[in-house]
Amino acid sequence: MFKSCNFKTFATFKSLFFLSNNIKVITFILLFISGRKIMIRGLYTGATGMMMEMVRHDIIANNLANVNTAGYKRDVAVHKDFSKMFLERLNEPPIQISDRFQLFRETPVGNLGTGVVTDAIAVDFSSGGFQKTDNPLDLAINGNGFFAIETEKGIRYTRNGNFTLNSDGELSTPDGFRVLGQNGPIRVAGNNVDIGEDGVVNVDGKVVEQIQIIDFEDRRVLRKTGENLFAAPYDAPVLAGSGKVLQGGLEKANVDLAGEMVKMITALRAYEINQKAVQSQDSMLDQAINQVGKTNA
Amino acid sequence: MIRALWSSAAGMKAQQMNLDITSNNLANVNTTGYKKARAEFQDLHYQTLKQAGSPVATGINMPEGLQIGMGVQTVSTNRFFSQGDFQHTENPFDLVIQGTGFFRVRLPDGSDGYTRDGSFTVDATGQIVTSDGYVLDPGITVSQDATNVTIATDGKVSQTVNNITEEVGQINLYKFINPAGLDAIGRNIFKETLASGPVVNGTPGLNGFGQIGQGILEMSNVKVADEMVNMIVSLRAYEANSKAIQTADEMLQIANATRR
Repeated sequence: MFKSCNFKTFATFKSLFFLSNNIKVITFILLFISGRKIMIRGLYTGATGMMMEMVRHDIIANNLANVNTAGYKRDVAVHKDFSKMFLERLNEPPIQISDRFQLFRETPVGNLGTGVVTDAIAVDFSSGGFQKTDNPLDLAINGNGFFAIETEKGIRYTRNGNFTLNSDGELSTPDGFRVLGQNGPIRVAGNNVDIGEDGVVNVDGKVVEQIQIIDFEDRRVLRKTGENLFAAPYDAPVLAGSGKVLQGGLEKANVDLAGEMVKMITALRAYEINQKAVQSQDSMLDQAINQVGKTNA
Repeated sequence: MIRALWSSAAGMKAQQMNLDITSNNLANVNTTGYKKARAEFQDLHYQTLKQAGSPVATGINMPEGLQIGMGVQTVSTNRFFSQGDFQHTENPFDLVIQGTGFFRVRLPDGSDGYTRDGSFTVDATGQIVTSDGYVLDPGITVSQDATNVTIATDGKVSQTVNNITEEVGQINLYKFINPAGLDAIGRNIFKETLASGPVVNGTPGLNGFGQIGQGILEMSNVKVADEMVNMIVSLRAYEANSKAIQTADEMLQIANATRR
């Protein structure tokens, strides 16, 4: 009984001795354990990097999946750095201004970034290649503008001109949504359909309708809704499209296969680097917790 | 991450279907009256993480949104009814439609079928039938003693028996406002659907109907070079999508390796 008590006292004494000798290290450990501020911050920064590269790869995968979708416009991820924090060194020795005044100060250390975040996904509206199909109902727009499509949810816009006819002989998308002309749907009932550069539809030599080509002052307001369609806010300023209609051809997706592949490799490697950063933070924590803090090594 | 996996899987499936359709076109490159088909693709739905135009501060709106696409889907197979090449056969019952229109045949279940395949023949009773034995509608019977059967460009069928020429029937043509909406049931036969619009009956050479040519067959309108290019394109796109899956997989592997 006495012996064990004596040993306990001795152990406490030993650890106290250890503490006093390693006071700096102990403070350091306390600092990061207390506020998740010193070490874990890096973990989160690395994780945001990994998450961002994931989103980037999601977008690349979607671009690649649509590499053969007519009229598809590729997406580009836009990133921004997460809010920065301003670091100051505390407990600096005060500056002696005069005999009576001391200036207590916090020396600025600088900005510390806390990671990255996907800010927006921009649509690249540049033109894709043209594929000749010789189908009279395949239309492409050479230049700026969109076809206006009447859907059950309102007017939508598309660059995909793989049109067909519905049972009433009206020009429509493969989903059955009607393509709009200046005065409404375009009825194409006849043998010879000839569509001019200005979108004027001639059926068997008679002018039927002119296809609407619409452009927007700011195309960034357009939102993809799937099915090759774009939706615009109702108050978006509209222009007449300056593009020329090409009959018998389709606009291919503007996805550059080689470019996407390179971006995919970059995303993968950047992901890997961020993982390594997380890993080394982890091993630093491991050192701090399991090695430095060892009391009876 | 899972998004990328599924998007790429959708991409691979779409390209697979593209190749299926291309191979069917190539398989039918010598099929009389075959009309080539094409797969039409669309981007799938978008997951909107941030709405474009949503306010970020007073008077400032997000200029661009944050939308992640979910891949691609095949929306339809569009069939092209452009004229195929002509092949002269000298067979009196080989007919071609030069222009718009279909022949109508009576299917075994009593319904109507429409075809551009004009390789007709006569059955044991002298009726004009398709190579599958489906009777041309309206039916025309040719005498067994006929030495010569002439089919005019307007569809009038005449036969010569004992040096006497007489008219035995009239071949009508049928058209649809949207032939791409017809239902292909195989054996070169199409059936009317709601999408094709109602059938319109007419005389060859009149009201926009094509003329009938005798002793000629319409070949398929498949262009081998086009299909070959399409095949290369779908193969490469398939490959790109498989690489995207591999990359996504590798990323997941790296994520798992973070915790040692």
